[in-house]
Order: sequence, then structure tokens, then C-alpha cells
Amino acid sequence: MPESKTRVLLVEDSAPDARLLRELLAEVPRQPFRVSVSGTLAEAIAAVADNDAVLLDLSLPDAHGLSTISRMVEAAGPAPVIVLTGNTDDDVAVQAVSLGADDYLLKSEITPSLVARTILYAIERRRGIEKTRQVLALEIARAESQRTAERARTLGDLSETFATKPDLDGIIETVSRCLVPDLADYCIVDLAKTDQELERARVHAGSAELVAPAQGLQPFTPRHHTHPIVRAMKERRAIFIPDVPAALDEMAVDEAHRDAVAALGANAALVLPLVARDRVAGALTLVLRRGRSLDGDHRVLAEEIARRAAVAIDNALLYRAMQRALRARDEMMAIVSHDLRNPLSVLALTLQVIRRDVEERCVPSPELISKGTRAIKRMERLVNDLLDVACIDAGTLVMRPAQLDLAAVLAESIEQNTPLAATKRIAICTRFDGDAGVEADRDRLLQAVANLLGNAIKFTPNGGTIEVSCIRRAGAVRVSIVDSGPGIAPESLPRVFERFYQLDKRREGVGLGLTIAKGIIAEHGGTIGVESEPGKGACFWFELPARSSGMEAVA
Amino acid sequence: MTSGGAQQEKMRVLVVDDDPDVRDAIATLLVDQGYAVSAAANGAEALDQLAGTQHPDVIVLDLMMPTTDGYELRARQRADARIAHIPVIAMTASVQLESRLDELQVEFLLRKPFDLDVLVSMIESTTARRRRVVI
Repeated sequence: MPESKTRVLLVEDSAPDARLLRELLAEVPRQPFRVSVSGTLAEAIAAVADNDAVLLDLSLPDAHGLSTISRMVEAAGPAPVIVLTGNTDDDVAVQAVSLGADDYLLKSEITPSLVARTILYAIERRRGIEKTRQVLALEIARAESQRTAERARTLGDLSETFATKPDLDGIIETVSRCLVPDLADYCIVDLAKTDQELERARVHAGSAELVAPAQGLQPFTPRHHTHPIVRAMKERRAIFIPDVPAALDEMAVDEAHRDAVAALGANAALVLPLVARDRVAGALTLVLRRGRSLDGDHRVLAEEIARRAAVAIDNALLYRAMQRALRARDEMMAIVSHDLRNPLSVLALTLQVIRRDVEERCVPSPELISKGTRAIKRMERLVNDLLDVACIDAGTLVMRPAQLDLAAVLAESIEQNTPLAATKRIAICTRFDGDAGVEADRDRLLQAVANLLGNAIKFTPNGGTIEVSCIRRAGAVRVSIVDSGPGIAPESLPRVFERFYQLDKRREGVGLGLTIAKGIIAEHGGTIGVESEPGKGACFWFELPARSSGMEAVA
Repeated sequence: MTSGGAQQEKMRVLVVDDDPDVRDAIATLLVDQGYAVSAAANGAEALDQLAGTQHPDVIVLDLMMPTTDGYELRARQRADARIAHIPVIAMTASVQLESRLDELQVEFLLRKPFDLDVLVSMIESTTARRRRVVI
């Protein structure tokens, strides 16, 4: 049967050698060979395609030496190449095999059975290798598809959970469970509280014995700008820490923080910023203990999870902010409409009487007109306060800072408020001590001081006293306004600067004055606060950064 | 414009509102119209006045007040047989509809801001009805 013949290409330029080999192969019992001969390498390369094996002589007219082998092997493809050599030096044979030849034959030792065996074994070996390669490729493909499916399942689960659990805690929980323990030993979620501040939302441990170190790390929030989490968020890129123990110094806030990080037993960590809608919502940190690594595929998966988590967290934050805004709006609408309607009533009533007076050619009473004017002033003040609060919220409060003396601003405000204080026979005493130079917007500062002072007058009983002090401290000027009012209950203290918060509903005002004062002081880089004990009056204070002595000289 | 209709004897009106400007404006204008007006800054003050022997013919009552508000005053008034009969005209500056209007059982509800004429005609209609009953 011609099909079962083993096709051999003999590359040999010596006709006698070629004939000899042909005859040798013809003598092999029960094994038919069909031999074709090429005299040059070029001819052989062109003819090799249909053959099962190649017998290659190394000295050809168009090629010489070992380079012949690699060219032939490349052209032969799946067919094995057996080198024929007259040289008895084993080195040539070894080099031939290293260049890709499947075997070699010494011309001087050739016998029919040796040639046949060498050819057939070489073909078999090639088939075996090919089979192994195919099986391997199949295995790799199967593993790959399994991984893809797993990944799709993980991500699918994630999307589903995100869709059904829009709350922040649910999302963080889901993300943590997705990443740990499959990809890492711990998962840390930090959220951006403000532009500067982070909030450690979760440190999730992958197993029971890691819970204690995870809890140990919970209270610490990365703060240094060198901290990889802070950097990853700022630079909006993933940061891999290959050696956590070596990076401890740039991460730790203090010794306790350092110990807490060290207790994790971490080897490496990967920080992924949570970026959505061009905003950095926080960062996801995967911590790997000694003996665990994160391969490329897992890293890709982790990054994909972080990307989806960012979108979900962003949505949750947006939803939360929206609900808060809606509540605040409803509350504001109710208060504002109520507080606008009262002066509007006064205005409507007085105008009506004035119109009647005019119609009856009477002179309207001046008292009536001043009532109306006062109502307008009240509305104007409310609208201005609302605008200021809106600007403070939006960070668009216009400031024209100048070098000024805070004590002079206080004195001016006290003077403006003296008539009001006089109606209640309240004495305002002052204590100004040291250089009160600050850089601030004069009008805004006056407004803040007037609100604080007005508040003090409002709560101080008739005949009481108010003390205003202005004292230079290291790097700051501190102003205190101490009233002799009823004081503030401890539970109300944290709320006094909240918008619309009124300590006493009976008194005039909507509860925006202290909110505005706080906003103005904060805008100047200062701090504001209140200390009080019920029955012992209240002390409202604020501190502004003092103008440096260098600038003092300029001023 | 009618002027009070109280030639023989002045009608007495009690104005209850925590906002001093509103309270003063209403009081001044009603005095102008020929009424005898007394004022109270909250429900508690109003109840003090109502404890006296001379009762007003009508109460003009703001609903939203600190301490004793309009609802509480109304409840206390209706529980007291001596003053339960005094008609009440309620005022509100709230945007929302008063959901508890039913429990108030007032003659009229005035939404701020309002026209003086409307208040006067409400007082007139309330007291006229009352007078017919008395006659």
C-alpha cells in the first residue's frame, strides 16, 4: 500500500552516498520507505513538505556546517530531521541535537536496521511531543475558560449585590467578601470623608485568627501624604507595596499605628483607588501575608472589582447626599416660609392701612411706616443669611482679605451693638492683650463678630454683663465672648452651630447666625467653639492665625 | 369699610401671636377699626388672661408658637366650660396644610399673609352669629 510507506527526504549531494542509503533502506524488512533525494538545501527546503522525516548531510553545495541544521529544522516543521555525519567527533552530534536535530547517524556505522530504527523512533518521538503539546494546550485553554467563568461569576454576583443592596455598608461588606480570602488575607476599605480626611470604613479579615489584627488596625486612618493609600488616591493609580515591613515608616502615623500594621504579618499589599465619575471615593487595599502572592490574573480581577465597587460606592454616597439634601431642603422651606410669612403679614397689614389713609386723604402714621420698614429689614436679613449659608456650603463666599487689627474690629462691633445692649442695660467689658494682627476680610469678620455678640446680648438677662477678650497666643489670636446668660445644656452644645438650630425658640432669628459665624471663621483658616455649663453662661470663642511678624513689618 | 359695628359697646378681641411685630400690627389695626384689643405672646399668657372675669368676644390665634401652642391652647380652652364658647379664628404661617385642622374646631383659618379686611369680616361674621344666638 503506497499510503503506508514512510516518506523520507534524503538531502545529499554525493550521488554514491545517496544511492547507498537508498539501497540500505530498501533492504529493511517489513518496513517500506519511499526515498526522494535533494542535492541542495534550497531544493530540500522546497520539497520537504510531503515527507515524514529528513536525512540531512551537513556538507551541501549551498550550505555548510551546523547552520544547515537550523535552516532545515525550521523548514521541516513536524518532520524530524536526522543528521548524517562522517565525523566521529561526538561534539558535532551534540551540537546538531542542540540546534534542533532529532538524532544523528555516523555514515561509517550505518546499517539498514539502524537507519530504519532511527527514522521511525524520531517520527514516534515527534508524534509523542506533538500529542503532549496538544494535551497541554487543551489543559491551558480549559483552565483559562474556567478562570474566566469564575471571574464572570464573581463579577456577576457583585453586580447583583450592588443592585439589590444600594447601602454603603452592604457594598463594603460584599466587596470585602469578594476579595478576601480568595485573593488576599485582608481587605481594607477607606473612604474619603472630605477632601483631606479619610475614614477607615472596614478592615476585613480572611480567617478567624486574623480578626484580632484586623480590629487592631481599624482605628487608624492613613494621614501622611507619603502613605501609599493617600498617594494612590491622589495620583489615581494602583500602588503595589512589594515589601510592607520595609515601608512601615512611611505609612505609620505613630508607634501604635506601626505596631498595628506590623501585627498584620503582611508581606505585600496592593492599593487600588476607588475612582468613579472622575471623583476619588476612597481606596481598597489588599493585604497579602507571607507565602501568598497576587498573580497577574488575580490583580486584573481585583482591579475590576475595585472599579465596580467605586461606581457602587459613589452611587450610595450620592444617594445618601441626595436624601440629606432633600431633608435639609424641606426643613429649610418650612422654616423660611414661616419666617418670611410673618414679616410679610406685617407688611401687608400696614400697607393696607396706609392705602386706606391715602384714599381718605389722611397722613399715614410714621409708626405704621416704620413697622413696615422693619418687616422689610427682617426679610432682607433672612434672605441675606440664607444666601450666605448657601455660599458657605458651596465654598463660594467672596473674601477680600486684608491686614487688619482684630481688636479694632471687635471694638467697632461692640460700638455698633451698644445701643442694643443698652436696651437691656447690659455692660460690655473688654480685655485686649497683645498684637491682634490678622489677615482677614473686614466685613465678613464684622459679620461673624456681630452674630456672636448679638447672640450673647440675646441670651444675657437685663442688667447682665458680657466680656469680650482678644488675646495673642503662639501663632494665633483668640477671641472669647462670655455672656452671663442661662448657659447651654451639654446635649445642645454640639448642635449650636448647626443651621436652624435654635437654643430658644421664643427669641428672634431663625438659627443661622452661629452657622454663618462658623463658616466665616473656617473660611479664614480659623477655628470656632463654645464652652458652657448650664447656669453659668456661655463662652463662644474663635481663633484666627496671627499675621507673621515679617508681614507685620510690611504693614 | 365697615368700622367694627361696635357703637354701643366695643367688641373685645384677644390676639395671640409669638411674633411681636405681627401681634402689634394686628392689634394696632384692630384698635383703629374700633375694637378693644388685648394681646398675648403665647398660649400660656392667653390662658392667664382668659382666667379673668372679662372674656373676649373672639380670639385671633396663631397656631405655631413656642411653649403652649395654638393647638394646646384650643384644647385647654375647650376643656374649660367657662371659656369653651369663645369663638376662635386661627392663623398660620406654615406652608403645609394643617393636618390637625379637624381637632381645632375653629370658626376660620387664616393663612399669613392676609388682608385686614378679611380678618375684620371674619370677626364680624363670627360675633354677629354669636349675637343672634344671645338675642
